[in-house]
Amino acid sequence: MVNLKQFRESPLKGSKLGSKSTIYLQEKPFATTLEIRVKQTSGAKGKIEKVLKIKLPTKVGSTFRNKDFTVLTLGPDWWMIVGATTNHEKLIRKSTGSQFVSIVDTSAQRTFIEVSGKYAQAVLEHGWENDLNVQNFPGGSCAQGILARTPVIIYYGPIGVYHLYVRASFAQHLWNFLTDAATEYLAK
Amino acid sequence: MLLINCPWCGPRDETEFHYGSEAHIAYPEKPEELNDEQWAEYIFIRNNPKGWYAERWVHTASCRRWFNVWRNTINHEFGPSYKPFTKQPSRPK
Ligand SMILES: [Zn+2]
Repeated sequence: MVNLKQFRESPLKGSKLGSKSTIYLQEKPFATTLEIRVKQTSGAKGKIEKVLKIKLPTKVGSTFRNKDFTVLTLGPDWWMIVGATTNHEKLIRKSTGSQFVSIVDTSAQRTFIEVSGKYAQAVLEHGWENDLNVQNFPGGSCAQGILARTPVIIYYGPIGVYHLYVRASFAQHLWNFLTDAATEYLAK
Repeated sequence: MLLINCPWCGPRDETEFHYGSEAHIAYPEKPEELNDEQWAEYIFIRNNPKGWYAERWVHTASCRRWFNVWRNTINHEFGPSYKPFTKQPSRPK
């Protein structure tokens, strides 16, 4: 029989590698994520914004951050809120009522890996095919794409720190890829 | 590798997309009135031009959105991409 207890913790629990002076990889414990799908033109969008006391960014790849949570714009009608609480979820549900909107708590779905250090960009560029140069991917950008054949969301928050969100079942695979890519920089 | 311009995400690698064949094929207004031949035509028959072709792509790995784009079938050159239900840009030269 499958031991279900093994799924109750992050597949990368406690993993870390390297140092800030070269490349530093670290698993971040589960943060809550809430995914919202709502049309830009829908009245429900305004209600969600009122409850969260923010404006949802409109451009795909842009983000918003305050002390409580980070909002990533993943599609023209698709936002992921990292750090939202169950209370936020309840409030959004209540405010939008029967309107056409989807609110899904996807907290346990992804594992979070933080990539930082002097060679963070270089390590990611071993597999990430989209532009990471700051003029095209400035602080506060996010992008969804493929890294090591795995769907990954990259959020570039504070300058020099990349947050990778990967499905939990692919986390170990991505970690193996990152540690392999990091090897040559660790000795620098 | 093709570089495809998603109207929402910008230029991205072909591996992030899936192909959706010819654009602007409307669903039949009264599908129940079509005979087998007409239905098969709607499902399977597509233009196969040598040159510019307006076709559909879906950005599977990122925004998950369908969009239309002009592509030249001779040299894989991409013309303008555009969102569904917006005005089609004119055929590139
Ligand atoms: Zn896209």
